[in-house]
Amino acid sequence: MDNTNFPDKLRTGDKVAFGELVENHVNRVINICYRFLLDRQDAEDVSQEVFIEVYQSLKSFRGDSKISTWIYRIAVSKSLDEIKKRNRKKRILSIGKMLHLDDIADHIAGGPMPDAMIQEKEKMNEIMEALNTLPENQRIAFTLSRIDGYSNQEIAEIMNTTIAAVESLISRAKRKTSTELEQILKK
Amino acid sequence: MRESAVSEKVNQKLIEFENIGTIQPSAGWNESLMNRLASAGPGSGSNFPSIGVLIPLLFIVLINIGVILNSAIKYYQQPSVKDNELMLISDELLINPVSIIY
Repeated sequence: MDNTNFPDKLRTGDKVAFGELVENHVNRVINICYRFLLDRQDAEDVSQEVFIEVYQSLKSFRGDSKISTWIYRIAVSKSLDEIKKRNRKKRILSIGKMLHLDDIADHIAGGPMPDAMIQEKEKMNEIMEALNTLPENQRIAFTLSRIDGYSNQEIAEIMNTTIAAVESLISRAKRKTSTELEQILKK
Repeated sequence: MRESAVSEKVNQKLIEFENIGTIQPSAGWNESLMNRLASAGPGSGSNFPSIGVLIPLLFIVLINIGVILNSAIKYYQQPSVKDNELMLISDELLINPVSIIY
């Protein structure tokens, strides 16, 4: 496909151009979501939401960053929103259990999880719990840095900051995560 | 748990996190995306009206408020029919209008 008018084609809603955009970025987007959410099903759902938002927002994309950087920023943002949603559900469930209203709490929280999903999530429970204590910027920098193929330069572009800031965030995040994990594992 | 055992476990967890493999979208992912896009529609990317619409709208609202306030002030500044009649009577009878009204 001729790429000279690619951004214009995207802005005019060219479906073929959009399909190509999805194909070029789906693996990275889904793996960003997966690394944040540590759950395949959630990663697939959220990655679709990312591309829906990309499709709906293409007209307003100003081109002040690379289109890939813009897409990955949306992926990070959507993943963090999903984490906040999950944490709210957990709070509802724990309040429900305290009040012995397990069935109602389950219903409000979106239903009980299948066993296989629970097992997968439990494997990563401790690291998730530790990462949940990180300030947002540290979490983003640290999580992206653990994904293969992301240089500090690229992370800095996604976070709209400097490489030095990213390095500092990663270092602080690693220290804090280790400290939190120690506390969690000692329980 | 001993400190060294805890440290080892912490490192193990961090390495596990680092070594999480990559995933590929499942077989129906693309079709599912197309279905969701079809029901989501093109959208504008935002539910909030653009600034180009908001400013004229605000201007119109402010003008309307101004007109209403102006009318209200004029209405309350005008003497009522009763006041006018009392003024007429007081003029005819050469009586101070304040003593009539109160």
